[in-house]
Amino acid sequence: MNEMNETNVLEVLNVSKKAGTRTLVDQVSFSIQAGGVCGFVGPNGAGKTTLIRMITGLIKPGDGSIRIDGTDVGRERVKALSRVGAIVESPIFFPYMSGRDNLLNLVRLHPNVPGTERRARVEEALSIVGLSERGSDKVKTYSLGMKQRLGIAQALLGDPRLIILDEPANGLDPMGIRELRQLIQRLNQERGITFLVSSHLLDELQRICSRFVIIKEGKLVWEGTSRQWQEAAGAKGIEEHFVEMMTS
Amino acid sequence: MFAMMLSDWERMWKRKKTLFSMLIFVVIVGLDCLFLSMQKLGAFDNVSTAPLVSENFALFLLKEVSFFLVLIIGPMLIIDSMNGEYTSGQLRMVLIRPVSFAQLFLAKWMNLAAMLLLFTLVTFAIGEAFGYAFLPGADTVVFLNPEQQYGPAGAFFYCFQSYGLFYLILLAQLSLTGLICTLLPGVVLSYLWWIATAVGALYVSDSFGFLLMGMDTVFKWTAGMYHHPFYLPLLICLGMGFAVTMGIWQRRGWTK
Repeated sequence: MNEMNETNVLEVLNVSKKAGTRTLVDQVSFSIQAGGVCGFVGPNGAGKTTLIRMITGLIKPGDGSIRIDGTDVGRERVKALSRVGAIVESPIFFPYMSGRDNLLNLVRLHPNVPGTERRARVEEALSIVGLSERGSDKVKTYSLGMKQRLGIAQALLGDPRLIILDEPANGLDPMGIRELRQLIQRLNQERGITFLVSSHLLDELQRICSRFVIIKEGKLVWEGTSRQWQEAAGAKGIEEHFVEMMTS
Repeated sequence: MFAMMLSDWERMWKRKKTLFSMLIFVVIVGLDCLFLSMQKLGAFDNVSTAPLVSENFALFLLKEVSFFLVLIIGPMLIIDSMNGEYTSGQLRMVLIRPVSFAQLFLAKWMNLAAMLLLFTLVTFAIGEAFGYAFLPGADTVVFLNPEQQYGPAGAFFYCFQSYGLFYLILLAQLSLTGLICTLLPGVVLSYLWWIATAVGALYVSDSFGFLLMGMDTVFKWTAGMYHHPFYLPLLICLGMGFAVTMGIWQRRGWTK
């Protein structure tokens, strides 16, 4: 492993995936260094969720490999995911349980959290996302914003080094989006957690992301730092530049 | 592995459906006890009967309630756990964690086996308690085979063995239903396919009759009057269903 690889939390190497004859993801490669927030951008159907499913081991790549902290997800999924938190699509909890009971149920599945620390870990996660007071309420009574926050809380349970968020702002109002942004920034700065955030909200991503990966029709079309994207976009701004990339 | 079982077991019991099923089942068993005790005879089939006494009551009670276990409660619990959680998207919260899919399936299978055992043991306990509390005892008891007589201890063991065989049938059902609801996309479709499989198996071979007519098979087998192979088809259903489903859980793509 070279020096650069040692700081890479996530490495996606020539990953492809087909469904029948249709190519969903085509030879995509990128990496994310520890401590960054990476925006994962592309239009609907570009293959973002498919790639996130492959990163979390829910589906296997047709070709290529994915490494988290140097561990191949396809070969050693359990080890690779030991320090990963994720929201894949919208977070769907067990609606018949309270938010707290959901987290207590899920924290058991993290071997790195000792039994004696589980309750404290859950309370900490609830406190971080501001749900301590509503923790005893059934999830089915939560608003969409509260479910998204609980989604972040469940992602924090295993003391993650990497958190993957798939469209976390979906359905959130402007206040909720701001809270989410502040939460990501806080967790990134205070805990050093690396984020991969997929979203359509370019302005929001621009505020928090140090790096961007852009895909279109399953292919990587641009990768670089936030500053590089701004420079490439010039006076047009990144939104216009993004539209140009998607329509060219 | 134990943590995974505990997590799944907890979810199973937090679903109102499970607790409700257990309460309804206990009520049904209680009512069956009452109705059965009003009759003086227990029926093995359309022609063979035996006087109802303390020592054989639990066996006839199982015959009465087996329908609910095989056709309603068993499939409902299995399909809810193995299909409902996944198709609703709730299982994704578990799948994105550092867990082995094969171990997750094993945890679910073992929990469901424990749950079915609990339902079976509840029936046995209520049947034995009701029988000894409210029915007359007998020095010797005859079951389906009139040439075999049993004392109280022998009859107790005979009933216990019958419950054990019925439980094995439930395990075969668990494996097959687990496979069906892993392959099919919805809860209702899975249930209908399980019924179709149980009925259709009769047309494949009489040896698979235990899937639909479990107690008929148990009565005949314990009496030495069952003329088809029993353990082999049962183990084929149990083992093949389990192994194939586990293989699918290990290899499938989790897209919901």
